[in-house]
Amino acid sequence: MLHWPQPKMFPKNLFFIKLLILSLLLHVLGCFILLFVYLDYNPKALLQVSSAHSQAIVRVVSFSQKSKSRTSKAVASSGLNGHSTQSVAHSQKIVLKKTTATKKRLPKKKAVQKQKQLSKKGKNVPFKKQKEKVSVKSKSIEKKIDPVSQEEKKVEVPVQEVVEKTSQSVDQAVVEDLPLREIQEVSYQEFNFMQLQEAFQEAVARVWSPPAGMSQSLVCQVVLTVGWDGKLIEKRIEVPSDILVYDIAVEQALDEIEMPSELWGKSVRVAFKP
Amino acid sequence: MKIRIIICILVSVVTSHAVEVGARQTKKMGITIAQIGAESPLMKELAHTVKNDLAFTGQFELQIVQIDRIKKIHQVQSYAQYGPLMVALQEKSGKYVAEWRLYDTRTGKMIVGRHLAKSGKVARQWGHALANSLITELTKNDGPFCSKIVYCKEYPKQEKTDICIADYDGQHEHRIVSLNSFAIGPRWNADIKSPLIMYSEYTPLNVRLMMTDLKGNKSVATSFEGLNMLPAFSLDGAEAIVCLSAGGSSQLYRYAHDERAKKSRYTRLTKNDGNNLSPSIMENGNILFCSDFQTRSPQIYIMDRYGDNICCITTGGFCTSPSYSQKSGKITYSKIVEGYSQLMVYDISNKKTIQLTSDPVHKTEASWSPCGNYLLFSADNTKTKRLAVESLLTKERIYITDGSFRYSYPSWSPSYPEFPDLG
Repeated sequence: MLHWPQPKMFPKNLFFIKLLILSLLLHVLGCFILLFVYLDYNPKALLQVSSAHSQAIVRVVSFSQKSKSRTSKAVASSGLNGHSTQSVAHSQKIVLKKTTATKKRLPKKKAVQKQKQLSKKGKNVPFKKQKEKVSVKSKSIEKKIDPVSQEEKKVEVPVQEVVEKTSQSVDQAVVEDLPLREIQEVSYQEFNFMQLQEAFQEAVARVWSPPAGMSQSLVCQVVLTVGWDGKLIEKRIEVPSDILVYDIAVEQALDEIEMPSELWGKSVRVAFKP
Repeated sequence: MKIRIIICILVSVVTSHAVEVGARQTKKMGITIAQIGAESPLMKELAHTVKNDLAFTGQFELQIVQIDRIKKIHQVQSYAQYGPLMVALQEKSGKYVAEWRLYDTRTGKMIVGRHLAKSGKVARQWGHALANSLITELTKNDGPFCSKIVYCKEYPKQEKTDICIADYDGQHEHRIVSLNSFAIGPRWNADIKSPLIMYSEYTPLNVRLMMTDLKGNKSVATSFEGLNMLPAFSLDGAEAIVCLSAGGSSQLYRYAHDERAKKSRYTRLTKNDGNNLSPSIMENGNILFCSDFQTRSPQIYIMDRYGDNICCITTGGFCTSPSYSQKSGKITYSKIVEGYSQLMVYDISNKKTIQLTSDPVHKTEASWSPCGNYLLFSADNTKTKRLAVESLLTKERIYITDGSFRYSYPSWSPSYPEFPDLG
């Protein structure tokens, strides 16, 4: 019997193949982690949007800090620690905190290099002047966006500008400029979710009109699956209100609704309230 | 070396958001009332009564149609343009008056169907009973349709008062007593089977408490010196509290009838020097009343069944005519706010008070509907004194009487399973 000769593998090639496989596995693992960390997979998150929200003013302010706890520390250091975060949550105006994108665009090294260059040239700008300049710039950065559901691109431009000149003192100055009662900190994911909610609220407002005199505690929860063409593939009452006219009014609204493009190809759980 | 690497990872991620949406406006739901078969006076009356009753709630928009027979689903679906619901009424013989079926016009499917029993002699009552069962099916609320109201009707520029009863919406008025003097504060007893009305009549000597059945057969209930008025009955009818001013100021007394001695016994509950009026008996036996004994300005109080543990639920102002709803556990009273008597609602469960009305009309003597969702009161704008019903569900007000007479002291009866015979 003739043995087929096995291909000879050089140890060098073998090493590279093993390295390739290892790197591939690491990439897959990394992708999974990113998927679960950054994807807005938070089915329990409930953000209440009332009709008042649609007319709210959104102020865009950058924060170099990543987590909320850090931001609160910054607020505390700026001498505004008397305010509780709860009072912040009650506000109608929203401050967008853009964290992940800013970190990518501004490597720390560049900022350090710039500072070094300045110190070499002997241009030691006093801290107060810096702060004043920054506050002026930050004021120009703030842009009122009305309504909330405007395109995200418009929001991104001023953020980028801030990022180029940002430092911890900038953040403090911005925080000092804005009255804390009017600030609500939301993450990027939350902002996206709010935009989606706002778009859906707008679409529903046109068709959702329950009969008068319904109890304010009533809720009818529906699961909707929207196709890529914007048509409702599935509508299922998950938790009925047990009030016949109310559930029928919900079904009637779903018959007439035109799904906003933000929801195309997605599955949404909607709680209809009176 | 064999390298076998199989990587098959198919990940399908469905983002699951939970979005809460609130309504910016409300809309009356369209309901079609279909009379099935040949048109008859009975079916016509039933359909019109149901239409008026459901329209009274302010939640529905109704229209009546005539259909020979429902054969196919698309027949029902053809009425979807009028609203998502259809009530089909069909006359029946025997112990049932009619059969009603509730359809979903979008799918053509039947949701619920019932027979309407023949209780009482009045055809209108059958329609009210049908509307009551329909509203319960639709909203899980009870309706006030099977109840009656009693009130005083004063003739302008004459010393003449009528005690009248009417349907919950002020329709089909029936005069029970006609007096050539003033009469005030008619109240229903709590007996559903044999309803009685107690009212106070002015005489040259005193204000006596009279009692009458719905046929107008009247008799004297109490005639002590001074005022005898505003009786209150417990839900089971076993207890009664009455206001008597024989000792000077008006005090509350518990009335009991001793079967052995065949005597009526009165036990004094309030022992103060103020005027104590408008009692209501709560389901736990506590008594709600109005008194000015503490501040010389009338306030609303609750005391236990023995007259102890008096607790004030109002905080100053001029508060009068309290009324308690056993169904909702709420108290309503009138309070003068910026010169006008406004209706206030006090929730016993959370001890919070809300001001229900704010328009420049005096609103007095409010009475709860048996379902606890409506308030009947006298609305006085100095020129006219009319009766109005305010819905706590829709916050809408309906004036149920005109301005040609002066209407006062309205009181809402319990819900009657069988319409009382008016003779």
